[in-house]
Amino acid sequence: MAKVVQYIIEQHHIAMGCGTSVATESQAKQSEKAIKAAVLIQRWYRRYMARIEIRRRYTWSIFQSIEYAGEQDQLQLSSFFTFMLDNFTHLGGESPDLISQFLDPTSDPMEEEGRAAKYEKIEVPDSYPGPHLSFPLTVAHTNALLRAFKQQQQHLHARYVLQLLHETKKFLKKMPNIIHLSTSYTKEITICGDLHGKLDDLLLIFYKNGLPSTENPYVFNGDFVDRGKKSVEILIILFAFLLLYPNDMHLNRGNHEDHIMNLRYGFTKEVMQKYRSHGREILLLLQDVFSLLPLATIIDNKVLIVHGGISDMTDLDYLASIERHKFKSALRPPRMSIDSSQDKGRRKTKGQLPAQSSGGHRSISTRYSSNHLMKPSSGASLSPSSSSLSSSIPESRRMSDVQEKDTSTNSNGQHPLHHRSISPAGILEVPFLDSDVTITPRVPSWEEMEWKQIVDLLWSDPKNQNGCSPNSFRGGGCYFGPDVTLTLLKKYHLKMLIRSHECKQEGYELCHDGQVITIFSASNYYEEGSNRGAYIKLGPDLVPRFFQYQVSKFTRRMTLQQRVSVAEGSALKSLREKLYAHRSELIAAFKQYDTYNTGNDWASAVESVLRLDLPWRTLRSRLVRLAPDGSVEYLSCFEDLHMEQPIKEQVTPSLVETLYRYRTDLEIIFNMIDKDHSGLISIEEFRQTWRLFSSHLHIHVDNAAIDDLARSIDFNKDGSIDFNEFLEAFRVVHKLDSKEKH
Amino acid sequence: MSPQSPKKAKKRAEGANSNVFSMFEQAQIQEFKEAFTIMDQNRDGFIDKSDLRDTFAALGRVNVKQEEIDEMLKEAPGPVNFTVFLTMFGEKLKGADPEETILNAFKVFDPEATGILKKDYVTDMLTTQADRFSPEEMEQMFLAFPPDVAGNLDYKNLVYIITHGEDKDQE
Repeated sequence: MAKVVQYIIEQHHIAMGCGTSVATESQAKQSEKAIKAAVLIQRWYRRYMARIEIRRRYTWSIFQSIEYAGEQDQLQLSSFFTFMLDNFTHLGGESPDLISQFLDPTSDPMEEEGRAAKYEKIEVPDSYPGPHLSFPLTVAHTNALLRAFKQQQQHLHARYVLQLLHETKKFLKKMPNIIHLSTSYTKEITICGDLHGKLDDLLLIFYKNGLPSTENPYVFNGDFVDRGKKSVEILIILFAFLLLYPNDMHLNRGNHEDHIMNLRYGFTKEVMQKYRSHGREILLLLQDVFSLLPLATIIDNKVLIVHGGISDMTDLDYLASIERHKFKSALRPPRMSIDSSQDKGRRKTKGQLPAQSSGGHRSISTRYSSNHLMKPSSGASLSPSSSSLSSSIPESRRMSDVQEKDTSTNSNGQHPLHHRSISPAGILEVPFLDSDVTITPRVPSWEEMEWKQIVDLLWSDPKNQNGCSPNSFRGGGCYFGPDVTLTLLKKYHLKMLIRSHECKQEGYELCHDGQVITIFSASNYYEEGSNRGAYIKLGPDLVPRFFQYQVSKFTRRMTLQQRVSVAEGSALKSLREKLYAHRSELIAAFKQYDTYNTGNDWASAVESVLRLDLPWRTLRSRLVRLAPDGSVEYLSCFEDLHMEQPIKEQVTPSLVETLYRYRTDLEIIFNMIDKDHSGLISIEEFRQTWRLFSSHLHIHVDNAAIDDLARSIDFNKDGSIDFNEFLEAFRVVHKLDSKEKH
Repeated sequence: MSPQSPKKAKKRAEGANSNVFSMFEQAQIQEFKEAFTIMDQNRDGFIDKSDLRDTFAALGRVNVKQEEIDEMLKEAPGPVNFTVFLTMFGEKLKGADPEETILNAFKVFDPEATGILKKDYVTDMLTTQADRFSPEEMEQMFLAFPPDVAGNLDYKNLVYIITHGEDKDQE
């Protein structure tokens, strides 16, 4: 492949002509020899550079596709929660109540005032070395916070966190959904993109660009949390400045300002680890705060700033009117008011489990059909032309269209934004429950419309082709083309759209003829050296200026080759883990492609199982071994990895593999069930939860095997499982790793 | 228009090199397809000016002029879709040069076989003749393979590192 790239360069240079000198014959011969040699060297070196470039590009693709596949997984998990909430009132324990309390907390408005008093009562010990906050905040407070966090040692005490969040919530309630700013003749506004818990990047921005103040206004465009380790600190700093400079500090909501995303991507864990006693309370309060974050910012009525993007249905006027706080998570359709929650416990389940797949949910082809249109209901006028709209129709409705000619929701609670992943052919039958339930009333369509507006804003990505299509890569929002951008900009007399949401090599990227700017502020997002971060400064001329940076842990500068190698190594590791997690399916697929001879078959097999859009043939040599006779040693792609602790023989290998694949999901669920953070859950909870989860995902798992597994894990036979130990059993080790990562 | 058999019509439509796909094995075509996709950054099915420009930029040639790009694209019979891509590059692909060949190329400029070359001489040799290196490319090479304080470039080492690093990546 590099040859091809390099050939283009060659042709270009040949077209430029080479410089030969007119000389005597012997000199000419000498020159000719020199020229030939030079050509060889140049060509060979260029091929090498092109090779590095190709590696860099596919490394990027790997990171990105794994990241987005994770987002799809999260949608999957979210739909599982919905499913659980919809279907079960009790589950041999407190699980669904806990989950419902976690996912759908019903807050008592009268308690609000009482909260402030409650926080006052939380004691801060004299030994506490960190900053103390009092309200209203002053510059002294923000300086103290910055100092404390820079030194890395100090957390802000839970009391102050709660008070800060409480004040922030009060403040945000007064804000509209769309904030209008202006660059007065002296001010430049600084716009930052995703930070994802990387405090060093935020501090670097403040260092280069100055702290927020009335002379130095900032807009932060969402995704402050998750993935990085300092999400809490970032939020504290951002909220503190928000309260201190309410007119000059602005935060947009991102798709990660969402408690369901936080379960998977690390923020929930971070909070629980840093705040053992008050973590849950903080998280609950944060749900409100996140949902109160404004959705968009407009500068000078000309520049629209949103986290994700737009769709062909985006309606800024409509958006301005929505009660945004109702949408705690963009991953779950809005629930109705209190009345419906009483109906939650009463559902009817019918239908059969679909035929079992050979393994995980990915091999089930989706029955999702974009031709399904929502039946028009009163008050909502829907244009059938947009496929993106139909993608947001709740799965329930579409499925019941197929199944029962009846528009009531089915109890599956499949997430409407599901696209690539699962879409079961029928409604789930849950034989081991004997509750008799009735069907819930459906969610009204106008709430769905509102919800879709928000999801589009937070999850969409631009694409280069015209049109607007569902964003299958991530599972939510749309891909919007240049025509969609143009239409929107024209409609609202805007000049450009600034958004974030996608990691870019240089920290920023322009597309749609310069009308859309992506700004991303977390450098080294995928891996050390993977990308720069950037921010924009916008003055009254509304011409953006870009500033790039890169936080570098290592003082030694790496060469391009080294940087690419490091990033590539990390990407390949993740990819090998993915292969390992689908081992059984892959082996089955390999056997299907009968001829073992060509690498081509290997690539096709992997492609069909993993469904990641990657250049498998190019990657093949890095993932699998070729035998001397040229055939592919299929099993060698699993060689790098092995479980750290061997599992007992009673547990069948495919079960082990399934558990490994869903370990993240399980961890999330367990953490929610384990209310008192004891690290233990009861065997019964484990069994039931696992059964539910696997049946929801249509994973065929022998119930007896689960019971055996549960019993075998309960080492001291006291009826409870230490699930950290359990998860530890599924940790894989990379043999080829000479040094430990992290 | 006189009626033609479908096959003939197809051939006519594809142009002179309509049998380009038959030049390669299926496996090879798949590989080229991947290369094409990697280069087709905006995923529109064509390698166009911006793809080319980005490729140049990534390889250190930041200021390629529009005319130069147009010149290159002019060589192609049409927009560079996958078929055209194969046609243009199919015949030109050769195997990688072995280490020995490259070393001998360097030795042309180092007749006494000292194993090193002066940085300035290398610069002159590579930027003023044949498929000239741009200043950025030259700089990039010296960044990755820095000459010593006396300005000497150990080309044997350079060749070794590149070819042996490459070996790991060979399909």
